[in-house]
Amino acid sequence: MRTWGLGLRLALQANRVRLVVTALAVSFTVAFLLGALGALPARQAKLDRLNARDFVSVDTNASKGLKHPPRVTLETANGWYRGKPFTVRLVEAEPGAPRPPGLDRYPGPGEVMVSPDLRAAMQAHPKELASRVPGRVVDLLPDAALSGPHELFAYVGVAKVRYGQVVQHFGYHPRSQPTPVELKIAAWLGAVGLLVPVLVLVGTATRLSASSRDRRLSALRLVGATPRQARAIAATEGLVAGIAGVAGGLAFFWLLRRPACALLPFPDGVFAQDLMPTGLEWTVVVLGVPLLAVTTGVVSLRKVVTGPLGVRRQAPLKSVGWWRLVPVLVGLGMLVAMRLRADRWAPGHGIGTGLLLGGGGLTVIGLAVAAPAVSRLGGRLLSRMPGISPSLAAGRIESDPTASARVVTGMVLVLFVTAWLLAFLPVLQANRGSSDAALLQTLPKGLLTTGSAIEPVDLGAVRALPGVRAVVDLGRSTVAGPGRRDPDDAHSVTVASCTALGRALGRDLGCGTSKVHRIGLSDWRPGTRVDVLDADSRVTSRLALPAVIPTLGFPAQLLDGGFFDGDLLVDPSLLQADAGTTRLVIRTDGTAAAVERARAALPLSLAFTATTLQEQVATTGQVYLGYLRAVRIGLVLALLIGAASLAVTTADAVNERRRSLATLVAFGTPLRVLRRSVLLQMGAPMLTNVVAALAAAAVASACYLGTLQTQNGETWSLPWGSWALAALTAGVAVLLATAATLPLVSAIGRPEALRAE
Amino acid sequence: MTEPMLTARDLHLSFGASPALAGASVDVLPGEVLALLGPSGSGKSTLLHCLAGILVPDRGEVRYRGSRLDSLSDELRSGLRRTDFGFVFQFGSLVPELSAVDNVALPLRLGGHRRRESEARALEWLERLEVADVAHKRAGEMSGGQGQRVAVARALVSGPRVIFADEPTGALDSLNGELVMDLLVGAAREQGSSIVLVTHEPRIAAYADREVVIRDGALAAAVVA
Repeated sequence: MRTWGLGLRLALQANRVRLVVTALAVSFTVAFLLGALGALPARQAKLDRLNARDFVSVDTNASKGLKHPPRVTLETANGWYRGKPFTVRLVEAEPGAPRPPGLDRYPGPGEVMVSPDLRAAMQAHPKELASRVPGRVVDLLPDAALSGPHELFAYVGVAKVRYGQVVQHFGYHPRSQPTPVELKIAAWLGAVGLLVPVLVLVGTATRLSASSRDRRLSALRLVGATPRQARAIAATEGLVAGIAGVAGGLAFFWLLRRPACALLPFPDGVFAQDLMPTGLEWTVVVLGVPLLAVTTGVVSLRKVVTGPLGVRRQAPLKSVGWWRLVPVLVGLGMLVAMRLRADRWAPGHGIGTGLLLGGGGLTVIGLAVAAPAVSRLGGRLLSRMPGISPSLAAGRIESDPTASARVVTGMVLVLFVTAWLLAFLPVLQANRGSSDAALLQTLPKGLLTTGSAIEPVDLGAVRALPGVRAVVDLGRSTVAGPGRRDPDDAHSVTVASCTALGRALGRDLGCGTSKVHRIGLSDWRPGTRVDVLDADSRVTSRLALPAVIPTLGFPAQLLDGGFFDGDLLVDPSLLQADAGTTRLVIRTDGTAAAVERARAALPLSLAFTATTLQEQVATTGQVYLGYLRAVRIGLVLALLIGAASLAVTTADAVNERRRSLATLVAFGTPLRVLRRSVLLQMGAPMLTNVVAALAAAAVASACYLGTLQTQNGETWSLPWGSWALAALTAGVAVLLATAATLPLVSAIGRPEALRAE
Repeated sequence: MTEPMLTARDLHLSFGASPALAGASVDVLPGEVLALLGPSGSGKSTLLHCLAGILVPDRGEVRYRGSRLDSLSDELRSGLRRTDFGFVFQFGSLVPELSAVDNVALPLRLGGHRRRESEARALEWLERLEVADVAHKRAGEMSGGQGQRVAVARALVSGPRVIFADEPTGALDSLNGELVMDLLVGAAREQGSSIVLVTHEPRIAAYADREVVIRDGALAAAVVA
């Protein structure tokens, strides 16, 4: 116990820089871990909030005439506002009716309760939302009533809800569905991936001023400290740093939780209080991280014997052989094999999946194993350069390539994984919404489409709005060809003016003078006479198809997307009966103000269904962009931590070599030569390892994407631009980190340092 | 005849291919000051380290109060260094991050004594060695002479039976060197401790009761002062 006390005293009085750096590194570890592990509970909490607000309805027919408890009737309308999902619940409530979480009472007729973001939007643009949120705002919805802090949500009190449902109870599911295993694995992988550079920083920090620690332990051994006591003292130093780090990490987590929520790829954001790991995860992190710090400190002493006369290494420095390249080459070889036999061994097939996972995993491990060899290659390249600085740097790298590679490894692994993700994410996105994404390229921005109109629409008024370029209503009719035997032989056709549709879509559809057009592939024969049917399949009129039916040029995605009914476009003038409005197409100038102006002019039922293509794509796109942003932020964070490791290592290496540096300066070596040698010593191993990591990522990505291409016939390109940017960022981080330590070279490289020593 | 406190017989020790000790034998009597003399590289420091149980000889034996010292475990030899032996070396024997009083109290604290008691005894010794004014300064904030007197205090604080001093005045001027030796030898004699002193300075060797000369790792001559 007293040894621990002495260790505590030494930890606090000895190298405080090491203590602070280690504690900071542990703080980052704890904060990152808590943040990453809290993401899944945050997602779960979001689902729980939605489910708690959802409700089970009453079968009103079954209970008609019976005495019933106080009721609330709700009608929910989901729509969009300025690119964000937007929900309004119309409420007709009796006193004492069941309420969703967060509501003390329901708004009465003419009253409105809104989320904070919706109120801000209403204050900023009162006219745009007046029709959709009618009434006087009487209260703000608290957090408990919302699924996210940026949700646009309102309860609107009305005297009579027309199309609503009577609530039996709130809370649709007793419990939300559990988080999928894949997501859990992904979160843990993300946490571990981010941990790698942090652990490197912890390891680096514990090695700081190793020689002064060795001197201290030797002095203690001389006056009778047993080996066990020396280890306990070293462990106490690690423990102090670990405990201080956990305290700092908790503070970081608490302070940065709110901004961190903005980085999570969930629509409407996440409440800070929901970003909270589970109790087990808290325990693992709070107890495990200090234990890890202690273990790191003790393990770093494992290979040395501390005696009363000093420290000696138990094992000599190992030579770095080229065999270290074998694992990464085998890993890449497996991926190449998968690519070459893509027709038989594609992922999904047993062997293909094995090759993909085995090859990818072996490549990651192999890069770490190969790092010293690749660093030595950097040293050898340096030794061929003219000048003293490269020779000095090459000598240092060659003497211990493993030490050079230690700091580099974390950054390189992160770079490899990031590079692979940058290549893979577009595939994920394409699988989810390629048709929408392609449509965005072909259709004008700010094109609103609606669902069926129940109420009459004043199209003239909409057309007259500023920013509205064109409006067309699409109708639907049913026709049947000659020889029809049963109602199933009837076909739908879209009823609209071709020229008006062309104007609305902003495209020349090639309408010509014809009043009937084919939409895509169609087997209607020109010149045929067809029957026009009503809802009861009775013939209301006859229509003669023209001798020539031109085909309109629509993007294929528009045809696949259920935009049109059937495969014929018929001008309304050819039909005797009104075809109604199944869809309005409103082309605006693309500004948010024009889109919202058009929505506000529509009847309430249409205003909520009116959606732009950008908004539809955003549903899947936001998640994709969120993941992409998370990957980029992860990369930048990892590089920052890696750069911090590098700066710490460089500063310590310079400090430990102060005598030899001062001697070199005393002999007349210019300081700039030493500064350059320090830069090269750190930069060369990093550069060669970054090149190796990107090359491995390029081969791995090309193999994987090539295999997908063989499988699906789609073409994917490698994201060279993003990779170059990632490499550039890594290079700049390395340069800045090393450059930050150069003043130290100038300070301790002066000949006076010899006296001080 | 007085039984030797420490006995070394036919010690051999090599560092790699270089022999440091080649059959050295020596006795240390209770309360005597024994000087080990010899040119650089003769093996006198290595012999001192073997006598103190810091190094274990390849061959031969070291006995302390009749029991084998060289075959004891590291743990037990560490215990002896804490309770029965004291050390004053030329450099680096103080823990630079600790104050003088903490340094002196170290052997006691490592031996399980309470902090307050350890510090009180440490302060007594610092006063006796006339360095109480630097009690709360760290090693780097003291002069060389003060630092060596603190080291002497630490060597004496646990009441050792043997003090090993390897060039204790090597980094000091003659005046400070003599002061440190006066204090070391005076205090050791007062509590009946033996001193094994490695030096190449005749002036310092003059403090010894007996001198032995080491050459090529073995005893070359013995002189009673």
